[in-house]
Amino acid sequence: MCIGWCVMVNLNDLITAQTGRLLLLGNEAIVRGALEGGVKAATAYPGTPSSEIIDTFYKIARQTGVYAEYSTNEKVALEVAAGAAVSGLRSICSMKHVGLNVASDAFVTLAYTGVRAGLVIVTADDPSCWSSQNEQDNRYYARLANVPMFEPSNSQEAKEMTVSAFELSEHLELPILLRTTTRTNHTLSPVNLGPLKYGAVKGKFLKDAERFVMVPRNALKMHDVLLEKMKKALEISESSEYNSVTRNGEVGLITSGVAANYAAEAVEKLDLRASILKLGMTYPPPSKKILDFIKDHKQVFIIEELDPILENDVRSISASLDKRPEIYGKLTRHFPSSREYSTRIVYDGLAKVLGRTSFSEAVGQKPLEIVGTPARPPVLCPGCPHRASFYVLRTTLGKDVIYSTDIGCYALGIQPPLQIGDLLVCMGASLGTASGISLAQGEPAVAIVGDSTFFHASIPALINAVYNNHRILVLVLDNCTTAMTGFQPHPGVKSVKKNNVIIEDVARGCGVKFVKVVDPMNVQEARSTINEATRFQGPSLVVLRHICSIYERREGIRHRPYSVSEKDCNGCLACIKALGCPAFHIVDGKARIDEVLCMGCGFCVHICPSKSIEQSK
Amino acid sequence: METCSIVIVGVGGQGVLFLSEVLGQAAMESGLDVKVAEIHGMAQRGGSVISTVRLGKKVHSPTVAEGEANLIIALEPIEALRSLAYAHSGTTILVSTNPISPPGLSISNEKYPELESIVESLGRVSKNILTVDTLSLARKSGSLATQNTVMLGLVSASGKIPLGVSTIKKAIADSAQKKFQEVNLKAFDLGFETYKTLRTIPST
Repeated sequence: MCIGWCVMVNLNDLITAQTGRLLLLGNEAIVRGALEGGVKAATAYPGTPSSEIIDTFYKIARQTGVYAEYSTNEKVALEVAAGAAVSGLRSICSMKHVGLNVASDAFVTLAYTGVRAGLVIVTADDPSCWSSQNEQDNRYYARLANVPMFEPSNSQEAKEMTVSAFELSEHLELPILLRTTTRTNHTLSPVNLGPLKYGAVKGKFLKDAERFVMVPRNALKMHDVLLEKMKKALEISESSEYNSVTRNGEVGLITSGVAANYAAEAVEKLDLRASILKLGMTYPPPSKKILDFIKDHKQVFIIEELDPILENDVRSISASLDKRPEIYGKLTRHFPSSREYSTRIVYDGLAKVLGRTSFSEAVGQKPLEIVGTPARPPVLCPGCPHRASFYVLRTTLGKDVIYSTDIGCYALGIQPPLQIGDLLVCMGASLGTASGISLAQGEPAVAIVGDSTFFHASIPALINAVYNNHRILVLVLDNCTTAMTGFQPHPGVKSVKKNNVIIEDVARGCGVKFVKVVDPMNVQEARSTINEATRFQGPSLVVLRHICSIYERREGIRHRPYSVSEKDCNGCLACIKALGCPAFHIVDGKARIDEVLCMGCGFCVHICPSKSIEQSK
Repeated sequence: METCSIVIVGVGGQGVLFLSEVLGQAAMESGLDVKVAEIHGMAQRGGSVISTVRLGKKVHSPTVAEGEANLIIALEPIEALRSLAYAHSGTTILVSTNPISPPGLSISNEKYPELESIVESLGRVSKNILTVDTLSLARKSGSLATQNTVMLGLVSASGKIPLGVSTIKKAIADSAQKKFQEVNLKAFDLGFETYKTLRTIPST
C-alpha cells in the first residue's frame, strides 16, 4: 500500500556472487535464498512490505532465467505459481498479509493437492499498520490450511529458511509458508552467501486426477493424506535446527520471528540468567521440545508479536505436566496484543514480573511532553492527477455524496482540503460497498478505484452492479501505473510483448452502458462528464486518466514549473485553500510556488482568481 | 563493545535512506554486525521518515528502543523534536537548522515553531545538541541534495560512531550514483571540516 524501498544492493552481486557477504534487506535475502534454492518462477501482486521481492525478481529475470510475473491479484499469482509447482518448477509467490486473504481460497485447498516441485508462499505481515489497513496475524493461516511455516528473524535466516522451505516443500510435497513481518522485510543486515543453483528445467504435469481434482471424494482422501504429511512435518519440526534452545537459568523465554531479537536484547540488558527457546519452524510447533523446555523452568515468558498463538499452544502443551510453570504472556496482560514489539516492551514485561525497574528508569529517560509539533502526514504529491479529480468532485458532486474509496494513493484524498473518502475497507471493495450504500439510501453512491485496483478485484463487483442495476458511479482514477507500491506495471499499462487491457473496453464488455474517458486536468470537460454520468439511470463508469507525475518524470518527461507573480497575487490564497499542493507555501501573506517541488502540472492556474500563476519561461 | 544506536530522521526526499545505507555498508566493511531498519511512512509523499542503524559486535533488535539512542541525526528541526522519545540525557543530537514546513500547515491554524524553541525543547532532554546549517554546506558542495552527506561528514568528525573516515568515504563512493560521487565526497569533507567550528548547545 505504499512506496517501495529503493533496492540498494548491487543486483549483479546478488545474482552472481557465490561466496562472501552482502548487506541485504530481508526481501532481497528471500530472493537470494530462492536463487540458491533453484527457483524457476516468481509471481506476486505487489504490496508493502513484500513488494521488493517481486520487484527484484522482475529486474533479474532476464539474466537469471527465472520467470517473474506481476499477476493481477494474489489469488491469480498463487494459482500461477501452484500450476508451475505441480508441473515440476520450483516456484515462489509473495504477497502482503491481506493478500493471502485474497489468495486464501486457492491456498487452503492447495494443501490437499500438494505440489511436486517446491512452492514457497511468502506472507509479509505488518504489525503497527505501517502501510496497511489492518494488522492481522497470518500465522493463523498455517493452522487454517495445515501447512508448515517458517518465521525468520533477520535477513540471514530469511535466506536460509527460503532454501530450507524449498527442500521441505519438495520433501513433503506441500506448499510452505514463509511468514515475515515489516521489520524482517525492511531491515538491512549482513548475509553470508551460499552457492547459486541455476539451470533450465522443463516442467511436465503428470496426470493424477485422484490427487489433483478436488471433487468431494478425492478431497476427503487428500485431507487424510495432508494429515499424514503433517505428522512427518511435526517430526521435522521437533528436530529442526531452526528451533533452538540455549539453556542458562530458571527463567525461560519462548519466542519466534522478529520478537526473538527483542527478547535476546532485553535479556542482555537485564543481565538475566534465562534460557531461550527460539522457534524458526513455527508450524507445526515442536510440542515435545516445548514440553521439555517448560518442565525445567518455573517461570516461562512467551514473546510473540500480535496474537497469543504460541502462548495458547504452550498453555495447552503444559496441561500434561503435574507441576506447571507460571506462564506469562498476553493472556496475563504482561505483553500487548497489538502493534509491533520493541526491546523496551519485552524488557518492561519481564521487569514487571521479576521485580526490576522499568526500561525508562534503567536508561535514565525522563518523561517529557513535547507540544506544538505540527504533524507531517503523507499527502498527494505535487502534480498528482488525483488532486485534480478530487477538486472536480468537490466542485460538482460536493461533499454530501457518499464516496466509497479504495486501496491506493487516492486514499490520501481524505486529507484536507479535498477530504474525499467516506468508506475504505480492502482492495476492490469500493464498488460493492457503494452498491450497498446506494440501495440503502435510495440514491446514487460513488465508488473511487485506481487502475491497478480495478484489475485486481473490482470486475466481479462491476458485473454485479450491472446485473442488479445498482445506482453507482464508478470513477476509475487511472494514473497509468501502480504508484502506491512503487510503479509496478498492471494489465492496463502498455509494454513490449504484453497485450494491454483497456479499462473502458472491460467496462463495456461487462455491460456498463455509460462509459466515458476524460482527463481530470481538463476541468470543464471532467465536470460535465461527471454530471452527465450521475444523471444516467443505472451504473456508470468514468475513467479519469492522467499519468502519475512522479512516474512521468521517471519516464524522462519533465514540465517547466509554474510561479506566482508577486505583483499580481492579491493574497486570497484560493490556490492553497482549494488544492493543498505541497509545492505551495505562504510568504508575506502571498502564495509562492517552490520551483524545485513543482512538477509543472499547471492545475493551479484554473483556481487563481487574479490570474497570477504562469509557467516559467 | 556496546551496541551503538543511531536514529536518523527527516522528510521524504532528503535521503535518510541513503545516509542509513552508507552507515550500514561501512559497518559491515569494518567487520561489525549491523542492522538498518526504516519506516518510510510513504516517504515520496512528503511524510516524516525515520530510520534506525544499530552496530556492534552482535546486534539483535533492528529498532532503537525509546531512550536508547546514542546519536540522533535530524535533517529537519521538527523531525528532531518528534524523535526525542529515543533520546536520553547523554544522547548527541545533530540537527539541521533548515525547516521544511509540512504542507498541511498553510491551511491549518498551526504554526511552524521558532527554531529557538525547538532547540530549547531538545536541550531539556540532552545537554549535547549541535545545530548546523546543512543547506548552506550542501549548496557549497554544488548540490542542495547533499544535506545527508554533509551530516555524514559531521558525524564522522564527531567520533561518536566506531567507523573510520576512509571506510565511510568508500561506502559513499560505492553507494552513490557515479555522476554524484564527486559532489557527495565534497559534501562529506565540508561537513567534516565544519564539525570543529560547532558549539554544543546549551553552552557550558
